[in-house]
Amino acid sequence: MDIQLKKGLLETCVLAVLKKGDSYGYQIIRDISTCIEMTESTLYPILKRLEGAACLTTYSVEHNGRLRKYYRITDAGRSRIREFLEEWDDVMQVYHFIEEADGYEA
Amino acid sequence: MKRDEWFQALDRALADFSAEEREKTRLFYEEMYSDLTEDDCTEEEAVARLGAPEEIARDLRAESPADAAFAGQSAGRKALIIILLVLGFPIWGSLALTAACLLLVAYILIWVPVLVLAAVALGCLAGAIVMAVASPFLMAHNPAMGLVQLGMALAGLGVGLFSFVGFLYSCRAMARLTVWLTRKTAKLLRKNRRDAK
Repeated sequence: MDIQLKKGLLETCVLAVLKKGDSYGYQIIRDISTCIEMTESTLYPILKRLEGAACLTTYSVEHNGRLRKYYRITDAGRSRIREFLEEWDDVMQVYHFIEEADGYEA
Repeated sequence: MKRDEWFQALDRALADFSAEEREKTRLFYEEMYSDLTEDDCTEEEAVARLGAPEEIARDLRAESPADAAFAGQSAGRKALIIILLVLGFPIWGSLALTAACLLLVAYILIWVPVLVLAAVALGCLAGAIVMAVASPFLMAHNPAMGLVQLGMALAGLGVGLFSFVGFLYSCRAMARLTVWLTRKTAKLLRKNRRDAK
């Protein structure tokens, strides 16, 4: 998949995972990977961006003698998901436009 | 690559970030590493999945130029302060110079009455001596005038001595003032030099 396109999608995917429930880094990757490929190295910048945009908050839970950081979606994050879904109609329009052009043999 | 190697490389790659950012990033990847190894990853595999420290740093820098510039901002802020000081120097420098000159003028002016006392003392004493010496001769010629002159000589002596004592006292006071001023100025200069650093 195109890298730029993928980046935008991954962000919303992370939010979608968190909407189903609070989660931590490694678990988020495992859940997303069922749908789209994501590596451990790409997650951190995305989480940072989302935290900066106040789309999620964090808290720590003890696990096996170490602290595990959990992420929780915020209302802003939920709005982001809704915006993404609403925008998709516009995306489909462009898709059909391109599809039509592709089927056209001059 | 081994775990410690990788984390050291991460630290190096994030050198231009603030200590806070470096710490947060490190904690994230340490957690990720622990999760990977708990899930039956070997050290090498886990480190490979974490990604390349250089790339991570690059992505983070692209993500938030403010964070990278934050660490740089301290150096930048320092540079800004230096520039402002240099630009401002003519102003506060000349202001300080003017103040110093005014202080010097005031100091010199305070010496004037002291010197006047000295002059009066000298004049009176000298005059008294001359008149005292001359009065016997004048008395021989004109006893009344001679007496007056002697009287004046005595008066002159009194005033002269009075002035002289006053001069001595004021000299001592001036000495104390000078010492105090010098000490204050030295302290001020030392403070300014420290602030400017």
